[in-house]
Amino acid sequence: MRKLRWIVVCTALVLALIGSAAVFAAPVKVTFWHAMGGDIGRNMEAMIDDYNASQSEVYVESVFRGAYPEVLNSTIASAMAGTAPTVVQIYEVGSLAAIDSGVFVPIDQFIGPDEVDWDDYVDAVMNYYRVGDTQWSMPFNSSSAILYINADMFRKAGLDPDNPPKTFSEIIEASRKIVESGVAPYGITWPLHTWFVEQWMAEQGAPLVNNDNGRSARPTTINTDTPEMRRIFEWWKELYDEGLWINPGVEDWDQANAYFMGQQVAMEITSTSDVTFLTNAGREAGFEVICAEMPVPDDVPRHGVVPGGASIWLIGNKPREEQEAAVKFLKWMSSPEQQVRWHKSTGYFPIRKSAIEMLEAEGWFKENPNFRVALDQVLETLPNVGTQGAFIGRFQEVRNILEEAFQMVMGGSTVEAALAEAKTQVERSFADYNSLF
Amino acid sequence: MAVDVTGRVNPTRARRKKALGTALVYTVLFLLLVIIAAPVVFAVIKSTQTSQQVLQYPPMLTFGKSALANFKAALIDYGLGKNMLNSGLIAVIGSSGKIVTALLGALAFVYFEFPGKMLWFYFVLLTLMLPMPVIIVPLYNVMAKLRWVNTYYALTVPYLASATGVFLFQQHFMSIPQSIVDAARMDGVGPVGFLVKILVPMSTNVIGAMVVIQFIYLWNEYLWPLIVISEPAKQVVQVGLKILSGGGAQGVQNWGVVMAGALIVAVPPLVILLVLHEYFMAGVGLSEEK
Amino acid sequence: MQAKFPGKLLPYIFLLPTIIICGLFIYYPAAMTFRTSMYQSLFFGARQRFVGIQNFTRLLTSPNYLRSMGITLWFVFLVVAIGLSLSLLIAVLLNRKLHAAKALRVALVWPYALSPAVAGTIWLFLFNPHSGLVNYLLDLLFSNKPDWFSHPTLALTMLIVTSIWNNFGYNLVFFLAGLQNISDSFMEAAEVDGASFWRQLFHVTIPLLSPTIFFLLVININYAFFDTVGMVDVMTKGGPANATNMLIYQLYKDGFQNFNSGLAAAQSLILFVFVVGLTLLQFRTTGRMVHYGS
Repeated sequence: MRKLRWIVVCTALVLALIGSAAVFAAPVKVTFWHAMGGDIGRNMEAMIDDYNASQSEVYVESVFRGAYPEVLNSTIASAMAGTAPTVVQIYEVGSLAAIDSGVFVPIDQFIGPDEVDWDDYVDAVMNYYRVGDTQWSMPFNSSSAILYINADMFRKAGLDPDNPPKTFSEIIEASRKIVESGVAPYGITWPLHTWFVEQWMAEQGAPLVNNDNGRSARPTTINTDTPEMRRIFEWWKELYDEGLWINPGVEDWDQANAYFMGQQVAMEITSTSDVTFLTNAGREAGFEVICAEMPVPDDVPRHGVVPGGASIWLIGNKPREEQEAAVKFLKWMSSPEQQVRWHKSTGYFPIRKSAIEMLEAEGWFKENPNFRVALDQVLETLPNVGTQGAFIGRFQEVRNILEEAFQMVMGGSTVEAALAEAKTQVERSFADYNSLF
Repeated sequence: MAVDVTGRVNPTRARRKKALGTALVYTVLFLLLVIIAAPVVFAVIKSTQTSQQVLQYPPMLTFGKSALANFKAALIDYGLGKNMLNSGLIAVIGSSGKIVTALLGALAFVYFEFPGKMLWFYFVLLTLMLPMPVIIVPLYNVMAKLRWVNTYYALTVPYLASATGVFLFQQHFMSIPQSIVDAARMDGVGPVGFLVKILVPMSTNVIGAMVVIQFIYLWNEYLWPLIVISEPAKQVVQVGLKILSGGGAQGVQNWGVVMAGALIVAVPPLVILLVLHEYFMAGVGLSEEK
Repeated sequence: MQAKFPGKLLPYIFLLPTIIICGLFIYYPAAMTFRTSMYQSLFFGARQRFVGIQNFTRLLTSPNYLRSMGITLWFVFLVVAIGLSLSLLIAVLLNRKLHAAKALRVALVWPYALSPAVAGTIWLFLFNPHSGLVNYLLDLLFSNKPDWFSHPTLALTMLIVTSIWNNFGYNLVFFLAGLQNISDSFMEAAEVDGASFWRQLFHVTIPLLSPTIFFLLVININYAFFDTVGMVDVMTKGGPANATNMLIYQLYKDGFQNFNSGLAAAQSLILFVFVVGLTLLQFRTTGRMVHYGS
């Protein structure tokens, strides 16, 4: 009887050991919040599924949490409530808020000196995401704004789609021809979004805000009273006043695409992340889409663009084991192979030099010249304080203020008055923000 | 007697004018119904068209053949179907919970004497002066402390008290004849039994009106879910419609799908209103006309 | 007076759910609103600094905020004034014993069940500058296709039209019911007196209808003030150039997009003043008008 009891106890112990071993071997769960909806989101989920299937140490659970600003807000709120995920995709302009929130931990604390070859990352991307000597986040999806052309409409209007407009005045001329020839009711569209203004500032090598574009210290004022900014607004106003640009609405990407697909315009400026989508959609609707670089102000040398998109951030207050698992996942996501796949399925440009080499080796860009444009634009970018991109805590507010400024211009206000008003408001917002540090 | 426009009465002319007036009234009425319905009819037509047909100018005003594709896209691809379930759950739990707490509250106020009764009555009544927007920022912080952000607790529990409900039931209970209460007490019925067996059956009108009003109110809530729910899969249907109509997801604005979405979101409250309209009319004070 | 049940504890048990919820989710946050409004804060209070009444002085001296307040009041006024007078006028024209009255009520009242966001979405497309029905009709009648989304006045007009549509049938049903309840003898007396239509309207109908008018006034003001936030978010996002930036929409942006809880709490309190004002007005006006009417 006694023997039997011992046997039972021993069996139980063995079972418990096996059980706990199984627990130890179970993958570490990592939660990942992202902002990729629609087709792009499905592509991302597919990548994550493949990652989960490819190894057994880490299991990534991904959750689509809405548009970029909402993802940033809900992360900060959830960190306060102790329900934050492990890693989060934060849009580029949320970087300073992310740092200042104290919710995140720099990713390079988890990466040994030789584990990641940071030199293999595209310079413009590193230029943006490296803050002083700290690598806060893992770059992942990078985009820039490019010009999409409806080649068939161009030909009908007597324009040459292979020689696309390159400057502000060429855009005006082309738009006039399109409208006058009756090919489309409007020449061009882009969302009423400050992102494009930021790009045109960078193209002129001009910082958006002071203190080295917010890189050496939190900014205290915005450069709306500069010739560079006025040039952008004056040109935009001219396009609007002449009825050449149609307003799709504030930050309304979909409506801008709808005007382009509905052939209400012959040109659209929007993100490279729509290359796949717009090229295919154009083919389905029976017209050819050709991509070209962002137009720039006349007589100003092209300085390049600020890489848009997002990077992936690590939450600070989490078990070390979970964070390490997350970093493994992030390294995989930004590996050259995955960047090639991501680029092909979306149009976001590859952020690894080796990924670009792989794509060139297989002749991808020869077959798909539209995918080349954004990349060239980024590779040609001159590193300087303007193209580095601004660091602003309440970036969304600044974007809204400038969007309001342009709407004031549409309502009849002068460019000077609207920009002066915007400057006052931005300075006040900056002063409030800075008073808390 | 006809209330005609000039107001002058002449017996022989009045009859002719009355006939004319009746025709006029029905014409005006018909036009009115058309004007009120026109936007939704337009939406129905557009919801059946392809993305190209929708954008045609002059507008194509006949039915297209993409109805199935559009409604399927709105329900499945854009996740409005999931949002519908979420909203349905919240509206059902919220409105029934509200009715229960309001019934209990009114029972206490009408059929009991207790210290501080008036104080507590005003405590409940004065919440009417504090609508959601007035408290929204700290309420969010309360949710964060309770770890209720992005959960359905946040969308139901704060709504469970209803000053309007307590007030409506209180008014109604006071109109119930005292003899009924006395009879019940003589039969030895306790307060809970009294509520369930006597008050509730006698309050079906008010309860029916509460169901309609609260269901529509909760189903149509916009600002609070927008703030407190951050995950699209958990979002309610109103915000789901905003995501569908205003981007967020990449793509091209397909108005056919957007119109389909708007119609889908409109159906449940309309059904509730149509089915329970008599309760609703009686409950908001529109009694049977004579 | 109703007969009472005995029991001292029981009523509290029945009231407990209501009291807890009112306390925790209404009064406590309301008290916190006062505290938060005194702070300059960031990231939902993760960083904050006491600033006294600076948020209030900031708001009440900000041209943008004052403009937003003006726009809100103007919007509320127009929605309520146009909406109510239009529905009253039509109710008077329609006031007679109508066939199928019940069905008719339902046929009129249903848009009330549509949320402002749904109404906004449908009208967003109706007002679409290119393919919308509104511009098609305007093009046919006046050969003009305005861009509703780029002009301040037009954008506000769009919201007003949508709001009025959303509530029109509801108002009409209440006015019709109110008119049916007015004894016919009043009307007949007025007619025999030979009172003109307008005279009758202002001197007999409106005073007799004042309880209904008052009820609808409160409902409509509340709707235009608070409920339209979904409509604004869907249709204009407060634009163009803040021309439709209602107070409550600004509160949402400051509190939940710009991480500025303190400023948003101060705005909550300013809204609270409006609500208190409205409630007081409700008590005073009801008293006077109902008296006049009876």
